Order: sequence, then C-alpha cells, then structure tokens
Amino acid sequence: MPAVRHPLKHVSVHLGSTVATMSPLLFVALLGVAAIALLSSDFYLKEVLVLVIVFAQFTASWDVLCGYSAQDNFGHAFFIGAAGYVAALLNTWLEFSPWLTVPLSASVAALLGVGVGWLTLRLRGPYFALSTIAFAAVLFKLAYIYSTVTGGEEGISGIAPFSSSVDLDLFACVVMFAISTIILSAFVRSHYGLILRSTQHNEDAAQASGINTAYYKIAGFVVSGFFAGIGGTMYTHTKMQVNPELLAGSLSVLIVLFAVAGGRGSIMGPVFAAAGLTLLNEWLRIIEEYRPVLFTGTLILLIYFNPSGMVRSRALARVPWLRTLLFGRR
Amino acid sequence: MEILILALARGSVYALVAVGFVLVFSVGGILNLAHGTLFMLGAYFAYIYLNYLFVDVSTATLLASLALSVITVALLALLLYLVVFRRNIESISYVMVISLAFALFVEQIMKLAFGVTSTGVPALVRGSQEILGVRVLSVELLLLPISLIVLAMLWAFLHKTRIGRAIGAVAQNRDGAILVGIDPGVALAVCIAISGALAALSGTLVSSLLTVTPNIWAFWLVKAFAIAILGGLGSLAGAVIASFLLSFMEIATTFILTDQYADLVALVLIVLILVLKPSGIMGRRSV
Repeated sequence: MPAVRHPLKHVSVHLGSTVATMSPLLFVALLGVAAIALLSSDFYLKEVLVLVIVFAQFTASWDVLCGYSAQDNFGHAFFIGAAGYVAALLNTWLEFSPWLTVPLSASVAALLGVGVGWLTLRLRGPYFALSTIAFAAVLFKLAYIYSTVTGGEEGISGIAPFSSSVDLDLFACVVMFAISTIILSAFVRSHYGLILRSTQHNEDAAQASGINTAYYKIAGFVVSGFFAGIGGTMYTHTKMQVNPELLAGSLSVLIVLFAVAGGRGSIMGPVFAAAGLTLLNEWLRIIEEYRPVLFTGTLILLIYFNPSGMVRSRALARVPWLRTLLFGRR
Repeated sequence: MEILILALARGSVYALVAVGFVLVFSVGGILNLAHGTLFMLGAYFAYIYLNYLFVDVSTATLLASLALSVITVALLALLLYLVVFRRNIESISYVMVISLAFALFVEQIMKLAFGVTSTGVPALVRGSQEILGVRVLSVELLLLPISLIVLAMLWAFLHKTRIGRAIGAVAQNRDGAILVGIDPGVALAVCIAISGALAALSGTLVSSLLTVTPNIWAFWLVKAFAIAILGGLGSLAGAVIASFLLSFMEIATTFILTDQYADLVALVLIVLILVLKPSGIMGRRSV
C-alpha cells in the first residue's frame, strides 16, 4: 500500500462497504429514534433521546482518534465547548442560521484540532493526557475570565434551535449522527485507522517503514475535533444555550469513561456505552438524590470488571451472532 | 515581602501534595488521578473525626483527628492500589481512567454525605503574627516547618532505610530491581500509602485555611500536575523546587492581576512546558 493516497478518494471508496459492516442494531435503533421523533408525542422522551445522541456523538468522535491511537485525550470538551461557543456567538451576534453555524463551528474545532495535534505530537502516555487536560482547562477558565463575551457562568442563551419543534430537532440530530458515524467508521476502516492503530504498538517502526505518522495523527485530531464540534453544536442548538459546563473537565472525563466502558477503538462500543449509560443516568432520576453516586459507581464497576470494554468482553466472544448484531462485522 | 511569605506557605503545601504524586509516578510509572481526592479526603476525615468521634475541640483532639485522618487515607490509598489499580497496573491508561472514575465517585459520595456547602476544621493554632511587617495567620507559619520536616523525613526514609533504597532502585531500574530480588509491587504499595499520607496531611493542614467542598480535588490535582510537569515527572527534588516556583508565580499573579488569572498560571505552565521542554527542569526520564 502506498504510504500516502488522496485522503477523500480513499475514504469515499469505502463508504458503501463500511455501511455493510456496521452494526445492524445501530441502524435499527436510529430508525426507532427517528420514528419516535416523528410519531411520538412524549416530549420528555425526545429531550432524553437528543441527549443520548449528543453523548454518543461526543464519544464516537473521541474514539476515532484516542481509541485507535491509544492516547488518552482527557480534554475532549475543548473541541465540544469551543464549537458550542462559536456556534452560539455566530448565531446570537451575526444571526447565522443553525445550518450555517454547524459546519462553520465544526470547522473551527477541526482547525483547533490541527493546533492541538501539532503541539502534542511528540507527547505520549501520561504527558499527552496531562496536556489535553490543561488545554481544556485553560479554555474553561477563559470562559469565566472573558465573561463579557461568553456570559461567564450563565453562558449564552437565546440561541436559535434547528427547527420550530422538538420532533424535527431530534430528527436532525439523528440524521447528523448517522452520517457522522458512517464517516467515522469509514475513516477508521481506511488506511488512516490502520496507521493510527500502528502508532499505539510501535510508532518508531511505523515511521521506519516510511509512514509520516505525524500527518496521520494530526488528521486524526482534525476528524476527532470536527465531529466533536458537530456534537457541540447539536447540543447548543437543541438546548438553545451554552455554558461553561460544555467545556468542563467533568464532561471530558465522562466521555473517556463512556468510551473505555464500551471498548475503545471500535466506535460502536463507545456509541452504545454512551447511549446506554446516558439513558441509565436519566432513568436514575427517579431516585435523584442517589443518582450521581449510583451512576459513577456503575461506571467504576463496568470498567473494573471489563477493563477492555464491552466489545471485548468474554461473554460476548462466546456468542458471535450477538457480537455481529451489536457491533457489526470486523 | 508579603508575596514571598505567602508563597513560602503555599509552596510548602504544594510540595507535600506533589511529592507523593511524583513518587508514585517514578516508582510505578502510573498517574494516580485520584491524588486530589486523597487530599480532599484528608480534610474531610479530619472533620469527621473531630466532629463525630471527639466532639469537643482542643489542641489534643485536633492533633489526634489529624493523625487518624492521615492513617485512614493512607490505608484507603493502599486499598485502592491493592483492589483496583493492581488488577491492570501495566496499563497506564486503565489506571488513569479508573482513578478518575474513583475521584468522581468519592466526590458524589461526599456531596451526598455533607452537601455541596463547605465544611471547615478549626485551626491548630489561632491568631496571627506579624513578621517583617506582614500579618500572617499562625497556621500559615506552621506550614513551612512542618513541610520541611516531613520532606526531610521522607528523604531520610528513601536514602537511609532498606525499603526506601529498594524503592529508589525500582524507580531507577525496574528490571534490575527485580533481578536483585526486590518486589516492585511492594515498593509501589509503600509509595502509594506514603503519597496518600502526604496528601492527607496537607489536606488536614489547610482544612482550616480554605473552604472544603466535595469538588476541591480537581483544583489540587491540577496543581500536582503542574508541579510534577514543571519539576520533571519522576524527580522529587524537582517537584519540591517547582512547588515553590509555582506558588511564587501564582501569588505574584494574584497581586499583579486578579485571583482568576492565578489559576490560569498553573495551566498555561503545563502547556508551555509540555510543548517546549517536556522533561521539565529536573527530569531525566524520556517522554
């Protein structure tokens, strides 16, 4: 395989075959959500489903870089929050429609991805993790310091939603999420995913075989940042507000925990884990007082008993058809 | 002058927190992201023992609750290592993720038990003193000597005792240490207990100075990071120097600008050092 091919051409060739290998259950679930969006009248359920999709998007975009290169980005909220704020400012100041702010803000996040990727290129393991935490935390602090622009703790509200109804908002999110996951899956199935995977085992060997690993890592950051940005704008436009929560370390940590619980480096594992755990979190609201304790406790137990994630659990390995149904073909 | 004295007081707390963090990293090669939580638990246990076990407040009960809290947290850290970390200690990533999950879990438990409002512990010594024209709380004056004594004890332990030297050996060359019959697991267990004790000690010491809330762990974890990175991950001496450097920079920023920017100092420092010189000022370990 030649070391560098035209990136888009290479990925697009695989889009069709990627869909065929993706999780059947995901598409069933997405159709189900789309049906609920258009048919059901349960307002609360739709709000929850929007949140589920947004978190699945966050986690999938984390996994595309960090799951495959085995680097831990503990500051994914950096991209999410940045895109969220850019979308909010574009919408409230310049009155851009959501259909314009989404691609614009996601592109800003992708550009930030170039920057962060370039700066952290040499770092590995704990050093990489620490630097990503610091990047996100700087932005978080700045959101408070420049409160005249960002609205401080209150954030910015009064942002236009995608459409006039929750139904169509949810539907828009489902569509964007479906497209995102297909592209992300195609990306990791392309030689980009392969090379990112090679860097986790032996980056020197990959470089010695003539692969410019720096290029692929930055490309990974761009893709990760772009789709995280889409997730951030989804959140912004459906909640119609942004606040520093979207930049907070706790969000970044939650994304990492979801992805690890699901099984990093598989896209589908993190997506289902994020979706399932977000649903669990909402369901636990019936016992609101104990909800955070039970929720974080569940996360610990999941990761403790299955450090490599649901995807690679032994129980699942014994039932191949279920594995294929859930996570698609390899 | 005021800046210098405040910086020395704050730096000595930072040193206690960061040294334990760095010790665990240099011996085990793992980042314990629950380190800030151990600090927080130190403060909370001092409060719990004082209010529920001793009830009356005197210097003796304060000291006793302080000591008990340090022991409790050290044992808790040991337990955390034995039960949770050791399961997959080879994976840096697993330890980081599970320790963060633990940190969140403890935060929620503390929120449930004590609420989000702050709890405080009365100071060991009351009143304030005037030194070189600066009014300082007496407790703040205690911080530097306590910290120096504890650090000296730690130094003596690491250099003069058998087990301390074994720990040093593991940090220098793990495989070599195994060859001469040192169990790196035991060395790491001792280090984690020590780091827990140090974190708890600093937590109890400053529990009278600052408001203790369930979410302070993140603040102290970031400080420990910044110091560890500045001093060079894996260098204890570097960590101590970096603690005072960082506290001086923060206090100076507070005086020149505002409090808000002071927190930014540590973060910007992490980014700058990692980008420009990832090994820090005293680090030798390659990145």
